Amino acid sequence: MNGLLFNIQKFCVNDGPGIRTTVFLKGCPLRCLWCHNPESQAKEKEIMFYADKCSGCGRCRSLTVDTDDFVCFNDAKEICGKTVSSDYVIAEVMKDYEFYKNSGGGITLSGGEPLLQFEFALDILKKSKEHGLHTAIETCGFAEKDKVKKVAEFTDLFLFDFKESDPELHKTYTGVDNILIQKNLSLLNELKKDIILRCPVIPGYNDRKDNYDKICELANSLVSIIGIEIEPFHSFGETKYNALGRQNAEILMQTDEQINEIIDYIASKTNISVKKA
Amino acid sequence: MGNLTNLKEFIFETDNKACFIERDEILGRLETEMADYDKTDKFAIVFSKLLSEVSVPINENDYFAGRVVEALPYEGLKTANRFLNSVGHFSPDYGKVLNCGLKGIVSEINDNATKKGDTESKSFAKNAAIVAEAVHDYCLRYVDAAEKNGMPEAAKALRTVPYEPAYDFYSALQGIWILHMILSCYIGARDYAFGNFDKYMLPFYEKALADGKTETELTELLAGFFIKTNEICGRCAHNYNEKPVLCQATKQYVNIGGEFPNKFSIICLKAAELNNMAQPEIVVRLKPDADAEFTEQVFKSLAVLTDKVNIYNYDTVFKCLTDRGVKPDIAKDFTYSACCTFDLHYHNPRGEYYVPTMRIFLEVLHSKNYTSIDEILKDYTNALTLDMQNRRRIHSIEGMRQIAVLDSLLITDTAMECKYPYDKDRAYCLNNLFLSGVATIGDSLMVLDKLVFKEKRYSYADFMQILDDNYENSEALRSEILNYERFGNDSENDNYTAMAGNAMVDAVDNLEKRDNEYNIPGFYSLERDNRWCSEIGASPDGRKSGTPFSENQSPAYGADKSGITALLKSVSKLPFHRTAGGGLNLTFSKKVSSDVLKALILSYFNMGGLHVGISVIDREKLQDAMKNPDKYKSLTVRLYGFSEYFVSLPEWQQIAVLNRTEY
Repeated sequence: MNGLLFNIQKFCVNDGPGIRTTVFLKGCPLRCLWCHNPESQAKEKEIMFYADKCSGCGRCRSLTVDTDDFVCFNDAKEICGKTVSSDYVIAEVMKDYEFYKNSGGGITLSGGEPLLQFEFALDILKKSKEHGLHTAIETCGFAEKDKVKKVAEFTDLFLFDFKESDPELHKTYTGVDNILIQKNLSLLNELKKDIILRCPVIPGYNDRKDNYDKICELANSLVSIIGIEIEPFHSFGETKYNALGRQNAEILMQTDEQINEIIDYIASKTNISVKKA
Repeated sequence: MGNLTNLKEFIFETDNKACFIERDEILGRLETEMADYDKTDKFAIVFSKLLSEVSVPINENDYFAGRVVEALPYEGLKTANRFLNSVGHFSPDYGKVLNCGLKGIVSEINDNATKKGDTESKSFAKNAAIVAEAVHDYCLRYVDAAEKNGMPEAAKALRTVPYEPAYDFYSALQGIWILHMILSCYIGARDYAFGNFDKYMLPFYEKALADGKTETELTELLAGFFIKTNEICGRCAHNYNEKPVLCQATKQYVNIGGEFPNKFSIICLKAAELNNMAQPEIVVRLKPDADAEFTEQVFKSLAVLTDKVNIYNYDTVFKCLTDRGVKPDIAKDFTYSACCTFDLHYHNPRGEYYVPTMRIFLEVLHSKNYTSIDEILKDYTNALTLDMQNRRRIHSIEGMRQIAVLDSLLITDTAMECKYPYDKDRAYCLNNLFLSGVATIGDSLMVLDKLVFKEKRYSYADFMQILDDNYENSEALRSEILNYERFGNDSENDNYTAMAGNAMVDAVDNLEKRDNEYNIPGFYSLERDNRWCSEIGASPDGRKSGTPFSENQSPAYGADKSGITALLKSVSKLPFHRTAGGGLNLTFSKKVSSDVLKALILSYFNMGGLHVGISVIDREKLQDAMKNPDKYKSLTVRLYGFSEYFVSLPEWQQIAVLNRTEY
């Protein structure tokens, strides 16, 4: 089974318990206005160009998205997206087995939206379980119910993005409403899967008390939610938007104090652990 | 009672230009006065006179008595006095001092000298008695000073220690401190270390608890002891601010752990957290399964102390030593008494040699037209052995006998034979052989194998010419080489660095040696950035002439692009089971939890890793510290194998710290 990745990141310590390898699958059904991984959105390979690093050597003159094994010596141009087999992914992930063993870590599938490549994601998760790994999946929850249910069989932890409680605003900010997402969250709760809610807090978009209140209401109503993580906005994506020839939304970053206030507010309304992602 | 906060402030307010002038002035006068005195007790008498004259200052915030006076150098003060200047570099047998006192040690030496009956042994015993009495008299002068300054416990202790055995926890620490200070500051050498501190202090700690002292009280007292180590003076040739006389900054090492960590090992870590100064460096000899509570505390403390802790893999080192013929009961007490540098606790003074591995490698490469990597490695091993053998032949130790007056008592198994630390037939002759640039050499072999021997894109001679031209007009080739998967990315190419490492260690093993001699290799480079680089031509790994080569056990700068887990897996491929020195420094860009540190390091040790030291760097803070040093006096970073105040570094080294690969 083959699929399209845009990164495999070792030594991840914030994507589930212990030391983990996070596998980023390319393609996402949402278009969040604040997305900091714009290269994750398209389902196809893309060329990224960092003009400030280019020496003009011309080696990339005939480069296309299908060129194999191209390496720019200045890291100025790269093909984002690599078609690989699930066996390749497992082999890469297993290289760090010793570290998972000593930390209770494992594999996390992220994206993009991993469930957009359902068969591929499922195959990786199944094989991970065969190797005795702890498995986690970071999802926006926008996927067919049956797929979520099937994936849940091989997933220990869901890092479930919850971007906006108001369905209409959700559609405005991400391109889709949150009805299916909420249903899938309830489904996972029924399946008794551990869930950590990941809530981006974006200034001028969803940084409202009524949104925080709804998040708490939801979290308090679902027993499977074991944690809430608040994700502050950061501008890491700007360079990548430029490299893709796209424009990013201009959003101001919050201060640590502002984020701590939000965390304290949410923590005051729930007994579930709340922390900064 | 002392005050830790005030002592910290006092240290940071100290002018970094100040130095210890009083000793030099007295020695200058004694050198003239005793110029014509040529008896064998000359330096014992010089030492005795010196101690009888120096000041006995006390700081009102001190927990323990004993410090030296410092002052700003005056015009005309240019050269440090080397009249009484041994070499240090060992861990004194403080355990024996605490249990027998100097008096007891001298008495044993005396008995043995009488039994042996020869003149040299009697002379040795006579000198031992002179210096022990001198230390005692100096301590008695401190008794008065301590009493006058409201330190009755110190006054009481110094009536007894270190001349006679210690009687409780406080007197043990006071005795060690005053002796350590005398060694470091008045003998004027560097690198005296505290050895396996948690072993010999345990009985005193247990007695204190039994006497009703609390763990909190004793931890604070120990922190008050640790902070004193920041006062240690030593010759400062490598300590960044060259001064005309002795000055502060010799690194201090406290070893803990090993086969049987104890409850006092944990107290040492807690006290180190309370102290949290650049000195002392805590060296943990970690046997992860020995004591779960201790292992847990090690990583909790590492998360707090970061660059102030070294962790060594006990099992790896122990195996290396026993494989090299060291008896297990001696091997199990190994210590690290300097920057990634190895000792057999108090059994030996440490020999060190920085083998010019990079220079010799390039000389070998240019010596003939090679056709294979194996051929290069064979010649390289032979050339290294020859260099080490020649160097040892010219190394003289005769001059050390006279001036190692106090040192001689404290390497006790040699002392009991009435021998001096550097005598040929001392109990243990231990040489640390530092092998630098292993990754640069390994990557160079990889490039040669690929481009010359396998792909045959260049003839051997043409490639050597490219090196001679320092990659001039070959920039495209150099860019290509720098993009190869070099050492540090957990790839097959790591094997070249492992081969280079084995070739270096083979060279050490091929040395002829005496029965009491142990040659211990380590992948280690102290002066990676400035000492030899300027003399070293371009290397096949794309490194240009005069630029840095790889540091310690690390990959070349910028070569590791696959993250910290890949790095650790790569480095674990080095033949650490054959080495006991050197280190691996890991730099993190943000704070890492103790759980993650524990998992990382234990995994690395399971794979055979030898050592880890960490730095947590806040790039913005470091950049601000370069502009506003006064705001960051206490900010420490990790260098080579120790902790150093960032603002005390020269600019080139501050930039080197900023350029490290971060995780």
